[in-house]
Amino acid sequence: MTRHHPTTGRVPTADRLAQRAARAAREVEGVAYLRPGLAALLRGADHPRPAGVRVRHRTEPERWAIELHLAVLAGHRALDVARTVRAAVAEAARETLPARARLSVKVTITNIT
Amino acid sequence: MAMNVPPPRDEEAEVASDVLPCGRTLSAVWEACDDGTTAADPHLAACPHCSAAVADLGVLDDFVRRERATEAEAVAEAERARATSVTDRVMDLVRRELRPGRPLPLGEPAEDLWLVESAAARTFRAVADAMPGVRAGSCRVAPVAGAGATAEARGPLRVRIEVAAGLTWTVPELARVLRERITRAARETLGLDVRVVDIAVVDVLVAADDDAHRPNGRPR
Repeated sequence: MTRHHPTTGRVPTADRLAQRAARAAREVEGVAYLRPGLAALLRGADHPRPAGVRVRHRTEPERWAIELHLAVLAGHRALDVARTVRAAVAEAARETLPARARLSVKVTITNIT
Repeated sequence: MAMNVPPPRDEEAEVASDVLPCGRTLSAVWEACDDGTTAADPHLAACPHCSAAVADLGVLDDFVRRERATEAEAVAEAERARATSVTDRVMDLVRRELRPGRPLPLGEPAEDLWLVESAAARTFRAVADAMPGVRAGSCRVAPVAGAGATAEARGPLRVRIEVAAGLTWTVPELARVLRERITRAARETLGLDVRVVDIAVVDVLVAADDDAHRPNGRPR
């Protein structure tokens, strides 16, 4: 069941964005996994969201903030993986968002495994 | 205190490990479940720890869905009782998610990239543990700017690490080598800007390589 944002009705876009971001991040070499996201699960989100990705949306001006939490495989330089993920996620998000939207992508590495 | 006991690893005591007895991590097993790739890995089915973890995740999933599907307190009560064995492990993971340690800045100031302190500290402790006759204790990483800095301050970092060392090391020599290796690991393995490495030798390892030949018996 999809819940629409009371004022913007943009939640479906946020979900799609989160899913694209997660897919783009997982494809980057050196990414072990996106953080499981159990806390959100236990809080009882009423539709499944990709783990380790959070999307926030503001209007006027339109602004999207994507936040990823992920683990990196040992043997890969954490900074290089984080940079590649950030670029890949930004590129994937740009395909979904209108050109005027401002976008920020934040990557936090939570584990090296 | 026994002289050959490594100093306590305070962050690890707070942050429960998710490594199963077989060496796999719980998060990796759960990731395989999420991705539907459990069938591709024969270990997951064969290993009692991994298959238990998979089963537990199924129980949790079931539990959460039912909790959400019904308001009936009696049903919730019964489910809660059934899921008790899972709860501890779940709460460990949740706690770890909620308390990952301070985020440390990676890369340039304009880049919004971060690495949690616990992951950096684990890397630096491994560097110390890899040196002969050295065992790492607690390790903290924080901005050089100090405690006044906000939680997500960007800027150069300071590492404080406690080690126990064998008598083959002089303290200045140990400090020089360890400082050099930690600084290099910060740069090459992680990409953190570590400017200061404080090293405290808090204990002496007596004949750590061969306990049977410890010269002075077991100091207590």
